[in-house]
Amino acid sequence: MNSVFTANLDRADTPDKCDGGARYVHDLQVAGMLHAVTVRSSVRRGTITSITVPELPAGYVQVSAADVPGVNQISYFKDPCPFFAPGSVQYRGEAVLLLVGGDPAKLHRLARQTIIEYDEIPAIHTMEEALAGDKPPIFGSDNIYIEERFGHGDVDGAIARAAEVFTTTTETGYQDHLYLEPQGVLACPEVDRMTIYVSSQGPHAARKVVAAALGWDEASVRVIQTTVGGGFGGKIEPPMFLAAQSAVAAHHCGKPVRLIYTREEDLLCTTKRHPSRITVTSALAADGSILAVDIDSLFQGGGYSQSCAMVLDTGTKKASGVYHFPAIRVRGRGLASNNPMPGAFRGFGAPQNYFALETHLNALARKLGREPLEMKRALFIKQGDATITGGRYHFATGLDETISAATEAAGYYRRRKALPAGPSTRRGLGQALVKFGAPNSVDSKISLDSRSIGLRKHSDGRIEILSELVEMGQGLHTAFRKLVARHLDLPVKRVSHAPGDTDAVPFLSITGASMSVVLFGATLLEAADKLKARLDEPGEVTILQPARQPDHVFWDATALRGEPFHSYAWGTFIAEVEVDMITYQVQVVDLWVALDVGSVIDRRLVQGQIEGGAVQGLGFSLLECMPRDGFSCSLTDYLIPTFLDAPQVHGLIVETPYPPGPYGAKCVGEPPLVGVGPAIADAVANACGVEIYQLPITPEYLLQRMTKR
Amino acid sequence: MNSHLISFQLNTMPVSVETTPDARLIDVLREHFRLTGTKEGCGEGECGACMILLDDRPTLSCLVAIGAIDGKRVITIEGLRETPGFAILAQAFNDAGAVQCGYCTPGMIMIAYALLRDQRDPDESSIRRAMAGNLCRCTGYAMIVEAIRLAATRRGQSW
Repeated sequence: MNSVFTANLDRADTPDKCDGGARYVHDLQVAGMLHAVTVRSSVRRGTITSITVPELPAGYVQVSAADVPGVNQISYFKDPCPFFAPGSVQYRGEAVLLLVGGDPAKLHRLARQTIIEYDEIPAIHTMEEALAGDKPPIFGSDNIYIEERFGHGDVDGAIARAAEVFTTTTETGYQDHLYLEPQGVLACPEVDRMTIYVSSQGPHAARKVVAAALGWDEASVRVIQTTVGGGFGGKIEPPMFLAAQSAVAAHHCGKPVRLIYTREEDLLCTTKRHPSRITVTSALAADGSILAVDIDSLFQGGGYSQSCAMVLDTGTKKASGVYHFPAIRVRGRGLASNNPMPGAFRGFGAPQNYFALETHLNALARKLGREPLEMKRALFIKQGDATITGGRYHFATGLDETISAATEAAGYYRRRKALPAGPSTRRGLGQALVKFGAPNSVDSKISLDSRSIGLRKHSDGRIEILSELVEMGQGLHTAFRKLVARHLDLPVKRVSHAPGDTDAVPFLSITGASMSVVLFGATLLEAADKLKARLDEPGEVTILQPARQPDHVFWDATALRGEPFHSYAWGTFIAEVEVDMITYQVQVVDLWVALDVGSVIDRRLVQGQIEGGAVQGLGFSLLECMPRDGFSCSLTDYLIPTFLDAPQVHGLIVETPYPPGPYGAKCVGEPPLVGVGPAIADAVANACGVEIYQLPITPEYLLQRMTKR
Repeated sequence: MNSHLISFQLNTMPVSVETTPDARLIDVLREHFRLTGTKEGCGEGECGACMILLDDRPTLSCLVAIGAIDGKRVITIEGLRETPGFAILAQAFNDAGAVQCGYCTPGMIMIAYALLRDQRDPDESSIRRAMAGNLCRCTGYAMIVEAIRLAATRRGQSW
């Protein structure tokens, strides 16, 4: 256990958040401000033939693709994506135009009265339809946004020689981020400038998008990050769209425009977790040992690729789990559809793939009558092993320690076979193992010199952290203050964090993919090293430190070879469930989450990430149900865990330091979510005696599984 | 609908507002009185972020029409924060790590205040039942439960 950071630090943002003083974007009002309401596509796919807006009162205008002075495109993604429908629509809820005026209620009424007519094109509703090719393709000729393959060894030969071939197919559905603060932007035009107030996970990314939309240089756009009421990946993509739309509207009207989504809109049209269908096939020797594994992973994207390529890519690279198989082939494909628009979400493709692989191995262990953890242990990755992309696991793995911590705390081996059943209930314990690579390596040919993080010593001795990385609740700014104070050997109250304002902090990165502490925390310490030598200089001293990947990372993004990730967190999840055999409701009684997160910077913050991430994973596993080709646009239909659904989460922290990380820290944002699904599914399977191949495990699904003849 | 003059007590002050009686209380609080500590998370009574006290009862301000509160007493987080009970709750939320993004926090504190007013020392299951209408997406709830238990031990005679 590391002893560098012993005490928890009180977050600087807590007092304002408690007393209502914290300013979220919805709380901002400026003089002369207008409101905007979005008019959306009511069909999944079609060409717009006419738009009839009711006669608008004085001071009210409509703003659409025709009013974009620059380019109607978000360039952040691999494939361009328009922010106003460009004469055609690809999903229900796509923004066609904004109505702008003084009274939000009147705007909503006018929006309802606006009539858009379409020539409908047959929509693609399923992954089968996307692959079948009998409807006009949405993307390219085959609807495949991205396809990637990784692996080593002779998988086909192993399958041909196998004593037995075992195959499972798992499916997962949509999950909405359900940050409590809906999306919002306030765009304020000034003389020759535009200032954007936004709740986002990347102010510089938003600035780039707005500048392109207006046809301006980036310096003419200023983006100010407001307090973020939760992100989870859901404030990476949508805020870029809202920022571009409201900036165009503000420019058009010459007045500030505020665009705030209702919850209904937010559920309808913002990004969600990609639904998946993943088939895992293992070739078994006569003694049941695994000779090779073949994984075919399909992710259902939307009508535009947006971040589908990134999510599919990282998820596919993670698909081999904590194992070094004798031979493996992973094929990942991201497919186009006209269903609700998916995107980035905490876990970034890993929850789907870990559910597939761990469920496969747990089902295999049950079939063979083996203790699953012992069966899996024979295949564990060891330090020095090769990754599926030809890189190496360079550093010590804490997987065994997480297994010990979780199994001991849960009494797993003792209680697994001996859980009491009630008169109408059954109990089960289940487990799952994960690793989480972060950050995703970028091509080693690409210099990160244009990305930097900084420190400023003010003349009064205060130290300010200059970083665009966003505090969205996770506690990042608190962790950064602790790192800097420790490194400069100063009291932490002398260290503050600059506001997220593109005029004040340099371009670095969006905040996501669990990379802020492990990568940019190390860059921040390099800045601190430079500042340390100059602390006694009079006046102001500013250090800007460019980001770089650590020395052990080489990645060739063309050949897809090298280190796919910089570092790995390791984890063991154990769930105890009680299943009501009358209603088929599953209640998670206890959840043990043991994570090797490297050295801990703040124990209370790490616990907060573990507990919150695990409960969000529980929602994904049991409750959060959105029809794959349909819509749930209200919290009455789309249920997230409440105080009564959340179990006792036992966060167990293992600290295997990662030498290139700041004081040995790795990551903690995403790992707590990614193993919850397979652990709960295994527990339900053990309780009920049927295999579980779908998330969420709804009562309807469990009823079908248990009554199937 | 015609405008009416609606008078009520807001955070101990008598106030009047000229508005249509079907205006939502949350909008009047946030847009007219600029009391933005009351948050809108769903607008349909499912999330608890807009919790206020209406004649001392915890109430979702997104579901109340302004016409229904003529002559009544409204306390928002901006009023509650002047009380000793709030200080104890806020300190407990800090110490337990119960605040992450903060969007649910004012609503959580409003209902926690009412809970601890009605029950001196609620156990975990009473806390979870009383708070079940308030959603949090960041914490997984345990740290909020812990905060309320901490506040119960520290409250003394403050409320």
